[in-house]
Amino acid sequence: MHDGFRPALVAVLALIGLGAVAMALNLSARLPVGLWLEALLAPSADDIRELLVHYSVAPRAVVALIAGAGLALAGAVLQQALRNPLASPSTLGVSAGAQLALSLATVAAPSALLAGREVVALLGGAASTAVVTALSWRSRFAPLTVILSGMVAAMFCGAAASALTLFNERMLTGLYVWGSGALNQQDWSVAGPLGVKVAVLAGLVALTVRPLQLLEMDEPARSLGLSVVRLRLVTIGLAVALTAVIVSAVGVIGFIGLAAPALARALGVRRLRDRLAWSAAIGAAILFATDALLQAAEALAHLNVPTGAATALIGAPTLVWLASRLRNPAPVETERPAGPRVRRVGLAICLLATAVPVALLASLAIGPAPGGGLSVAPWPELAELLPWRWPRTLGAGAAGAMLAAAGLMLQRLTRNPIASPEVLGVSSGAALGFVLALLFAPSPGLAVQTAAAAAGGFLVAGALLGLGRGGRLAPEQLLIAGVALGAMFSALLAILMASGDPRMLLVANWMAGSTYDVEPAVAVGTMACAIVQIAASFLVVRWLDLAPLGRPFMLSVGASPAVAGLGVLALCATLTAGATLAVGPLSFAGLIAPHLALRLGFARAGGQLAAAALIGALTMIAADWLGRVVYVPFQVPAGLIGMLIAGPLLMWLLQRR
Amino acid sequence: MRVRASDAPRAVTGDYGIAQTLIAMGRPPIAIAAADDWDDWVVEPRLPAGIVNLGTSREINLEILSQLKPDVIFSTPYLERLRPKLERVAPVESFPVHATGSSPWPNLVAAARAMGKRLGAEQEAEGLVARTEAELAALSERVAPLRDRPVLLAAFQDARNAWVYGANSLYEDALQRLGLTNGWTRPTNPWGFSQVGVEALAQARGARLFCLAPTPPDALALLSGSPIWRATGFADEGRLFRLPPVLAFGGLPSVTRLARLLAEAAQRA
Repeated sequence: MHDGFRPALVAVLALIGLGAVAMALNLSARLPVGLWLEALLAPSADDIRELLVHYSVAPRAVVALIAGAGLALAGAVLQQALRNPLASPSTLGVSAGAQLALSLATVAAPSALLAGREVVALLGGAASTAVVTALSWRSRFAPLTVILSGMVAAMFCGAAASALTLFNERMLTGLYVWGSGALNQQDWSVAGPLGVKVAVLAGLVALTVRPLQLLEMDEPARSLGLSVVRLRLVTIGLAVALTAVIVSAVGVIGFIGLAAPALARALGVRRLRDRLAWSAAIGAAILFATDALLQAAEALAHLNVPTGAATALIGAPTLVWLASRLRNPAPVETERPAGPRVRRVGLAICLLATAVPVALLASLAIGPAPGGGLSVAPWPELAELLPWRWPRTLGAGAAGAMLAAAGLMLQRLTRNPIASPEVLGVSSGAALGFVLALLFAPSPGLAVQTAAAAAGGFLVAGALLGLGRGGRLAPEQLLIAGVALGAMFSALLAILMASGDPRMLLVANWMAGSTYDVEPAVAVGTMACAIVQIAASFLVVRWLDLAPLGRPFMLSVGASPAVAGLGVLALCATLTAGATLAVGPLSFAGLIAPHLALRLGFARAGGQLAAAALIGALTMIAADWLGRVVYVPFQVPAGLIGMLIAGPLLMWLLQRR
Repeated sequence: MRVRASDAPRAVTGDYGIAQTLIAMGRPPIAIAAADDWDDWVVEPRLPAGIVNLGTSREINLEILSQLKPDVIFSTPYLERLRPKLERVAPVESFPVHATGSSPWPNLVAAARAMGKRLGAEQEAEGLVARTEAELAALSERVAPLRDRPVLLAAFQDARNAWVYGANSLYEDALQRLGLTNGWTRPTNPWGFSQVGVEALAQARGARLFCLAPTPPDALALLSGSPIWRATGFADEGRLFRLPPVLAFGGLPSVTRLARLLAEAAQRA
């Protein structure tokens, strides 16, 4: 064996060893050691302990190995094809599409599940990938367009799936379990077919290794007569098939596809062929070890944690560590806007600024009429309704503006159009604080929940700032750390959701972007935060104009990239924490509003910031109003409505590019 | 303008269990949350006509609620988060019943009496408690054919995962009052159930399994083929019963409903 593989080999063996010890502990509690071999090879038909080993423990270990290897391979392939170290199966929306299809089938056509839960999930995953592919067609599969389309598709599917959960709360608890990746088995019916499918797809991946290597060159394959578009399409297709097959069998196990290839790179595996193989080995080892440890925990401590969520708990700190010691992160490609430019920026801003108060007043006055339809309530009656309406409307508008400002700054600073407050992980941190308060505070009143959410958000922001201060972290590295922290908190939330605690259903609305809990004080506070912090944002606007030109230019005009980066990041963190308290962690406004501003032709940072904030406010005000009137007596969360509108809009914009 | 039958206080609630209890004591609320889902999850007692739907229990529609001008709002600690808003409409009275880390039964009785007192219907409340006790006593004779084996009460999430009800659940209370043994003795969460993979049911392999609706249609079909499932014995004739929905976090009427459904199943066992 080549010496360069030694660290990777040690890592794989250590993980497998750890898993084997946990498994032995678990087994010895169930069955005397002397019977293990018999149970594995030929279990006695009436000894339930032996049957459990043969049909539950053993296939579960095999499924974990297969799923881990397949997901890691898919991630490694995607990262190579898109040349983006943040690429992973989930950024293409496959698992979100599969989850949406399953939710839809459970609610609308339960008989479709009889045809096969896996088939339904596979169709959903394939459909969302087809949408992403169609959207990326015109750009000839430019890596960032694919990722951006995938992220939007994933957010859209996720929002739609959570909408179903909100209105069919008692029915969909099973999907929470599946959604957080449960590997338990009752026989070999999953392991066998899954192994065959993954092996076939891995074989096909092996055939693409040589052409994929050419993508690493600067002026790649075109001069060699190779169609870059077709190559990317084929390899992405293979990775998606791998993901869909695994996800449909065992649920969402997201982090492996991101972490295992990163670990392989960090352990010094260089060549593509080796990287694919070692990624798969590391992925298999990680998932096997995680699952074995969890089974031991369940057997010894009655602690039931879905494996897919736990992998993120283990994988996320690994990735934070990786990001902080990554010397030279692969540069993310820059896309220069080539759209129209607004001639009269001032006039356009004035128009937008007038639209906001108009929308605010209209949304306060117009409501559902008693007999159906819409009406403006007569005054004395309106006076009674206003106290219910104005806090949520004001809170939604302010939060929209804050998220938009944060999103714009992140996108500018990192030169990465998929950056948004949610990517930073601050939203997830705030969400976790809120949930922990709800579950563990002796009397979880609104004040306690609010304080806990703020603490959670600031904890993540502080951790990111701390990481940034220690070394000289580039914004891209901080983004990776943010993604990892966010994934970790989302995993904790998923574990709590899967626990089936009925109180978790209370959180579902807020997580979907509901403004129901915005009390008058919260609304006014959010508004004040928005005004102060967006004003502060204009002070750093000069840095934002420089950021797209890159580090050398910033240095040459005397701006320190490190200071600028940290300053903008701190501002983004506080903007996001404030907005999350009001409208939950669903931050589509942070992604969509800056893009809309750019499309409308606001090219310079100052104008784009103002326009994005106003557009963010407008969108959230409209979304909150729609959510209040479309499905009376139910109230659809504003974040969800906004997502359902913004998703297709953004896709249309991308497609027109 | 509808003429009110009496000057009795007009109550609303966001909790199905409270609504069940109010209807059963003859003082139905004027509005409840999720009225449209009643027949899928609660079934008994029938929901009287004309009850206003307030939306989901987690986000009661405050515009509709305030226009109804109720006299009292009955709630539970589960919905405590709504209290500041609800109190702006009417006084809120909250009854801890489930998730108290103890058997719900005494709480169910206490809540029924407290609501009766608040609505000036003490006799009706006492009547409901007495009726429940009497009905359970009568049904405990009819479930005798089920006494030869422990009983497992489970709700399947999918083919691999289930909630099994044990200590501190309303189902456990019903079993105790019927003189039946619960086959699930592992620790449960505060709400009285364990979330487990179905292979864990093998621990109670001698029991009769009652699956409460809704059961995903593919779950039992998939299970019938698994060797572990066959070894549990639940695949054998007369060991698996499918029951219509019984509200697990409900009120006194849920206890009688489960008892009656078990008694009917006992005739088939």
